[in-house]
Parts: sequence; C-alpha cells; structure tokens
Amino acid sequence: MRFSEKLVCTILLVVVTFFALGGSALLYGDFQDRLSSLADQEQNRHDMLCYTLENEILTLHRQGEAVTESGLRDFCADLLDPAEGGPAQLAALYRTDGDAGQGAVYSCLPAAWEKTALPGSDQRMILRSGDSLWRVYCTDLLDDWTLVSAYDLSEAFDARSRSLQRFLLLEAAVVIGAAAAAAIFSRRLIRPLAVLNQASRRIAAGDYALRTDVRTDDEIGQLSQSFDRMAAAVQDKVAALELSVQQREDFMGAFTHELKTPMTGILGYADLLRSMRPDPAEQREAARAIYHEAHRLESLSGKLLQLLHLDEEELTLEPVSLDKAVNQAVKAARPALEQNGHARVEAISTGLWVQGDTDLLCDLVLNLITNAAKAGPGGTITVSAQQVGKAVLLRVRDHGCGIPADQLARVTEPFYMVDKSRARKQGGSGLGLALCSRIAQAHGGTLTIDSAPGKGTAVTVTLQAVPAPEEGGAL
Amino acid sequence: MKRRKLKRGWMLALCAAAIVPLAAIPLGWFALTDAAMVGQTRDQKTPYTSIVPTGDDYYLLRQLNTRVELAARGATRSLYEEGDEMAGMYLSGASYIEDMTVADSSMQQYLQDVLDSLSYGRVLPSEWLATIRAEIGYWGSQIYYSTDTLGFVRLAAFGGENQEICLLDLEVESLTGKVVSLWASTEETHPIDVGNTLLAWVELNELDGLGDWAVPVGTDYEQSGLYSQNGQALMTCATGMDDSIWTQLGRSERHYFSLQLGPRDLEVSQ
Amino acid sequence: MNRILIVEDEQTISRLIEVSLTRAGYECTVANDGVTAADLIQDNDFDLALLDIMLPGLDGYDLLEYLRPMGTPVIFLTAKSSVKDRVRGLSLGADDYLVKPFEVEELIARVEAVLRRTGRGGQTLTAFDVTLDLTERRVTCGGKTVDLTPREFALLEQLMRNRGAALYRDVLYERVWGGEMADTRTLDLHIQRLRKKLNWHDKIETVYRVGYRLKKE
Repeated sequence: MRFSEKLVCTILLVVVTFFALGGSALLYGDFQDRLSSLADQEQNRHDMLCYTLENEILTLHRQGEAVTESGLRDFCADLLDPAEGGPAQLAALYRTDGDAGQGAVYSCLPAAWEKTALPGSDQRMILRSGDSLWRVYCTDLLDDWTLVSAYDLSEAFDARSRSLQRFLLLEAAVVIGAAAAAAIFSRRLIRPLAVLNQASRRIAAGDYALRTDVRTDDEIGQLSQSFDRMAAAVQDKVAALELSVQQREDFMGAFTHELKTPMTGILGYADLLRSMRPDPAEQREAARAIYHEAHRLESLSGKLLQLLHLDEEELTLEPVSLDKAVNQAVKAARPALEQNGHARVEAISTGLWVQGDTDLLCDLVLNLITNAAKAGPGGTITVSAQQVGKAVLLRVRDHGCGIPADQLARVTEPFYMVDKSRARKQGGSGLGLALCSRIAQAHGGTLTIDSAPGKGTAVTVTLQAVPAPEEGGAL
Repeated sequence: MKRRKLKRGWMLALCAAAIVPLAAIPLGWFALTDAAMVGQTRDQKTPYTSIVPTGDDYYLLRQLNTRVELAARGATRSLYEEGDEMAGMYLSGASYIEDMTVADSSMQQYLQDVLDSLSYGRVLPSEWLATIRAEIGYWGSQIYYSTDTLGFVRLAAFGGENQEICLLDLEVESLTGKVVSLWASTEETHPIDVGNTLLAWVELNELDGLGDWAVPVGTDYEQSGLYSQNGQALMTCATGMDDSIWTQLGRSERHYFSLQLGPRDLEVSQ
Repeated sequence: MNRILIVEDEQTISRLIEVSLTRAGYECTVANDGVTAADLIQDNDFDLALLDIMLPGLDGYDLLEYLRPMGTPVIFLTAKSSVKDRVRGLSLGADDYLVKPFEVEELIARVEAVLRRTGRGGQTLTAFDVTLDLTERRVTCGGKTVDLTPREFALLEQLMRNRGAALYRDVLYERVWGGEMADTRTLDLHIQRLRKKLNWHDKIETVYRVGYRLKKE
C-alpha cells in the first residue's frame, strides 16, 4: 500500500468517525430537545385531562350525584372524541380500588398494552404499538380513579429520520470531498519523498554528485537537507576512498617496481654466470651488478620494515639528548659521505634535550645527512638546532643541487625520486624522506623542506623540547 | 510484486469496508438509544396535583353546613334580608313526637332500606341492627318522621309507657339517601370497632374524596371521632350508658349507639 | 641483423638486456630515459623496441604513441603485473608484455616470436654452412636438408644462439630436456650425433670441465 493511500485512508477514517460521532451527538441532542418539548406539551394535555376528569367527579359530588363507571365512561368518550390539535391522544380510565381494578372503565389504548405494563402513578414511559411509539402518562385521580393517557411520538421520530437521511447524504458528500482533498494533499506532500527516493536510488547506482534540493520548511525539507549532507559526505568518502585506493595502487606499483627491478638484474646476471663461462670482464660486471642490486634490495627491505614498524607500534618517547643522537648519526654517515664526494658535516652542539626515541632520531638525522650528501658534491652539510618556545627546530642544510619547486610536495611520498637514474647510482630507494617524515610524525612533529634548485636544501624537523635532566649523561 | 498488489487491494477494500460502518454510526446510535428508551419508566416532570376538595364540594356536607348556618340565624329572622347571601328560609324538621308524622308503610320501608344499607356498608353492626329492631318490636313502636326545608328527613321511634324513650333517631339527607346522624337506645349493648366503623361510614357517604380523614388527636374526639380538615367535618361513633331517661320506674339503665356527622372546626394538634 | 631499441632507466637491467641480446645476434641501442628514446626513434629505424613503462620524462605509453605510426613492434617491460596495465598496454598496440623479473631466455624467445610474427626476420639462424629455419623447424647443411630429432634441433638452436660462449653442460641439458641432468651421456650422445650429421666435428668444441662451444667464424 502506498504511503499516500495510507494517508488518505487514515484521514478518511478519522473524518468519517468524527463527523459521524458529531452528527450523531447533534441529531441526538435535537431529538432529545424535541422529545422534551413534546413532553411538556403532553404533560399539559395529560394534566388538562386529569383536571377535567377530577372536576367532573367533584361536580358530581357537589351535586350529590353518584359517580358511576358508566357515567365517567360516557364522559371520557365525549372528552376524547374531538380530534384536537397536536399529536393523537389516547386514554384509559381505571378504577384502582378493590376487585374492579383489572378492567378499564374506559380505554382506547392499544389492546396489546397490559395494565401491568403501564407506568405507575405520576410516571411515564414510552411504549411501542405497531410501527409507532407512544409516550404514556399515568396519574391517580380523586376517589381511586386512575387515568392513563398516551401521546403519539411519530412526529418526532419522523422528523428525526428525515434529519438522519439528510445527514447521511451530507456525510457521503463530506467523505467524497475529504477523499479528493486528502488525495490531492497527500500527493503534494509525497512528491518530495518521491524525489528523495529517486535521488537515493541514483546515488546508490553511483551518481554521487546528485542532490535532492527539496526546498520546503518542514521535516521533509530537513530530510532533504540531511540527505544532501549525507550525499555530500558519501561523495567525499568515496572520493577519499578512491584517492586512498589510488595511493595504495601507486605505492604498490612503485614498490613492485623497486622490488622487481633489482631482482631482474640479479636473476639475469646470475643466469648469465651459470649458463656459460664468460670472459673476466663480463664476469666482474655481472658480479658487481648482482652485488649492487642485492644491496639495494637489502636497504629497501630495511627501510620498508622500519616504515611498517613505525606504522604499527606506538612509540615510547623519553628525554633524549639531541647532541648525542646527532653525533651518532654523523659517525654512522661517514662511510656514505666518503663515497659521495667527501662532503663535510658540521654539527653544532646545542645541549638541547627533546622528547623522543634515540635510535629513531639517529636514523632521522642519518637519512637527512645521507640525502644531503647525495644532493651535491663538496659542500658543507650543516646540522643545527634551536629552541623556539616549546619546540626544537632541528635543521639539516646542504648546498647541493636542490629540489625543483613543483616536486617539493612529492618528495616525501614513498619511492618518489627527483632524479631516478642519479638516485639509482647512489643506491637510493626513494624511501629516505618518506621515512624521515614518518619519524617526525611519530614524534608529534613536522618535516618541512625549503629548497631552491642549485642553491641547496634545508630540511627542518620540529621536535618537542624537554628540560635537560640534572645529572644526565651528556653524550 | 503481485502479492504486494494483492495486499494493497485488500487494504483498500478493508479501508472502504471500515468507512461504511463508521458512517453508519448515527443509525446504530439511534437504534441503541431507542431500545433503551422504550419500556423505561420515568417520573413525570411536573406530575399532576389533584384538586384538593373542600366540604362545599360535597353535597352532603354543603347541606349540613347550610343547615347549621341557617339554624344559627334562627327561623325568626326575616325571610328575605337584603344583601344576604343565604337567600331563603329554613324551617327545621320537628323532633318531638307530637309534631311528627306517623310513617306510612312506604316510609317504614324507607327506614328499613336505610338501616339495611348502613348494615350492609358495615357501619351499623348487624347485632346492633338486630337489637334495634328487637327494641322497636318489643315496644311495638310507631315510626314517626319529619322533614325540614333543606331536605333532611328525620325518622324516629319511641318506646316506654309514655313514649318517653327515644328508641331510634335517624336523620337522612333525602337526595343522596345518606345518613347524617343516628341515635339508638337499647337494653343490650355490643362492642364496636370505632375506627373501622367510621372508615366504612366515610366510604358509604362517599366522602373519601376529601382524602384527609384522620383521628383528631388532642381533642375530645380522640377516642370516637374522625376529622377532615379539608371538609371541616367531624364524624363520631360512640356507644355507652344512657342514663338520661326518666321513666315512671325512675332512672332507666339503657345503652346507646350513636353516629354523628356534622360540620366542625377543630383545632387538631399535628 | 635486427636493430633493437632498449629503453630502460635501470642501467643494470638495460646493460643485462644489451649483453644478452647482442650475444644472441642483435644490434642493440640503449636509452636510459624517455626523451633520449624519443630522439633515437626520430633518427633511426628500429625493428623492435623494448620499453620500460615507468620512465623518467616520457613514459612507456607515450613512447608507444611515437612508435605506432612507424609500425615498430613493441614489447613492454614492466614491474606492474596487474591485468589492468597489461590490457592497457596491449590495447594501445603493444605486441607483447614482459613482467619483471624475467629470465633472459624468455626475453630472447619473446623478441624472436614478435619479430617472426611481424615478419622482420628472426626466422633463421646461420652458422658456417648450416641454416636453421625456426619457423619451419628445418635445418639445411650446404643446401641439403638434414633430418634432426626435436632434441637435436633444440640443442643445435642453443649452440647457435650462444656462438662463441662456452655453455655449461647442466644448463644445456636443462634448456633442451628440462629439469635436472640425470646423466651426461644423453647430452654427449646428442652432441656426437649433431657433429656427425652436420659434419661439424671441429666446429662444436668440447671445453674441459665446462661443456660445449660453437666456434665463432
């Protein structure tokens, strides 16, 4: 069942119920009023009858004549004979004393009404005779006479059924009108819902840019707005998801490339070596290639493991002497430095302490120095640090070739290399800066790179400063 | 899909089916209220209050009142007085034997009928009737009667050597044939039930329409009377020793039975 | 002599391919980045190009655009092995696709297959008076057809492909018969038969403690 139909049905049921109840109450009230005004009329006529009879009885007494049944019977017959205005009147006169109480002295009441079924003195009741209803009054008169009179209520009942007929016609008209109005109203009400429904289907089918844009100031409008917000959120989420999938794919592509290229070299040269006896020069070239490629794989796997490790584990940071970490790194960098054009490292001792992990900080500095050394020959690499507020800025600066501005943003991506062939020659894996950036993040800091091609690069890492311990083991 | 359509059809049909009985609420309502209305007894809103009759509404009492009033004026006053409501002259009937007429047979029969109707109406106990008849027979009394101008007939019988004992003194209103007073003197006495006798007499006189016959508590008639405030009339019934009669043999020891109906204004304590 | 362009930014790999293909009798030109490769393509006419997809400068797909109008067949070399990349490469008109790490043997086989398919030679190998027709799997010696068993044919192909190189016995066996060498007699026997059938008694040399070598002319 459709919602609009439900709405129409509900409205109709409610309207009909209340209309019928209200109409009933109204008609009933009218009917009661009519009955009650008729009752006043009837009571008057009954009282008049009573009075006339009593007066007759007293007149007879006054004249000293006997009050006889036959006399009163004739009197009643005369009294009731002329058709008066107003509803028909029937009456009966009973003698209540002694044995004579059973039979009526005079009666024009319907024969079906037993004396016992009639009301007692000063009471009234409604009795049915055939199709018509009569209201019956009873009063005990002087000298043990009882008068019963009945008045036809047909007029009131007829009037009521006429009203009822009119009311039912009116009700039918109201139901039809209400159905039409409710149908129009509910359709208007539901149109935005249909729009929403269609929109949600299309969004589910992939049309994430779609918006419902129903502008009403009711709940449906709010729903539309919420829905649009949701659609926007979904769109963002999907975009982010797609981006992340793209990044993952890129990473995986770069990773396989980095992994498979040395493997191809190793396999190829090894195959060459095993399949034939090469001349010494070839043999040396092959062995050299195998060695270098294996070395590349080793360094790649080491850095990759470190990256994964950083991703997985929560670091426990402790106060670290920055000087100690830098000195360690400089010492470790010496072989690499000697290989790359004998760059000189100048480490400025600062005596600062930072919150961190010694090994990771050492790695960070080592990577930065190695990177700086690869950037260009000859120049001096400066490692300095300074405290700014609660942060310590650790800076590694070189005067090498620099990084083009358009690639500055990408150099921290894993496997990104500005000059691939050069990086290869120097045994780079493309993971160094990515790792540094990750280490900085793990320390709650950032890594920023300032560089200009030909002028050199300065990498700045922010770390959290801590006061030097009183009796710390310096260096 | 088809099932859903079917269900929808059912729901719509159900809705339509629900609307019809709801629309017919008034019919049900009236059927119920009508059924509840028929045959139910209710008090009338303004019940008819019966006319409260007065003494004047009863011919008998009115005659008695008139008689008292006229008697109070006295027969000696001028017959037609200017501005007098009581236009007419009252001449009371004789109560002494000398002035009364000897009843002929029809008059005697009338007396017998009156006495019978009293007895039949359980006003005059049958033993008292028998005793009265026996007394009259014993003395071989003549029945005398007199009439007054209002239509009261006095019937009497006397006994004793010189007719000095009034054996029976009875007044009847001639139009209605109702007895308004009875006096009987006898040798024997019988017990009577004053209350029931008086009630029977009220009924016989068709004065029950006054509706307020009651024992006049706090008056001299507490033991022997019934009083109607509406009619301002007193009825008494009594028996007792009649020692007012002097015969040649001296004070005679006789009993009496008496019924009296007459206008009276009593202060009845409530 | 077919001319082959090798475009590969990894010098180790490019060098390896160069060595292997030169030995197999192809003339090789190496480019280490896309721009150099594009220049080379402009100036020369190559029979085949081996393209790495991830290149600095222009990547493999861009180079393919260059090469297609010239009708030069292309084999992609890539570390990417996803079906998506493979389909993209092939739909763009690459003739074959080789996923790293590959074996040199396979590379040579693919190169020959592509050359053969595109009708640019590679159908025959020649040494002295013997011609080996790879398509028809026929060997002629001085214009006369020589009947060879499939094993003998494969063995001869190996020797002719690696002329002048002393091939190890186990590798020969592995390449012809497949699997570990059970005994040396089978290989020796086949070599003997070849020498006899082709009258190559002095051309196929036995190298002490290594294996066999087909003499260079």
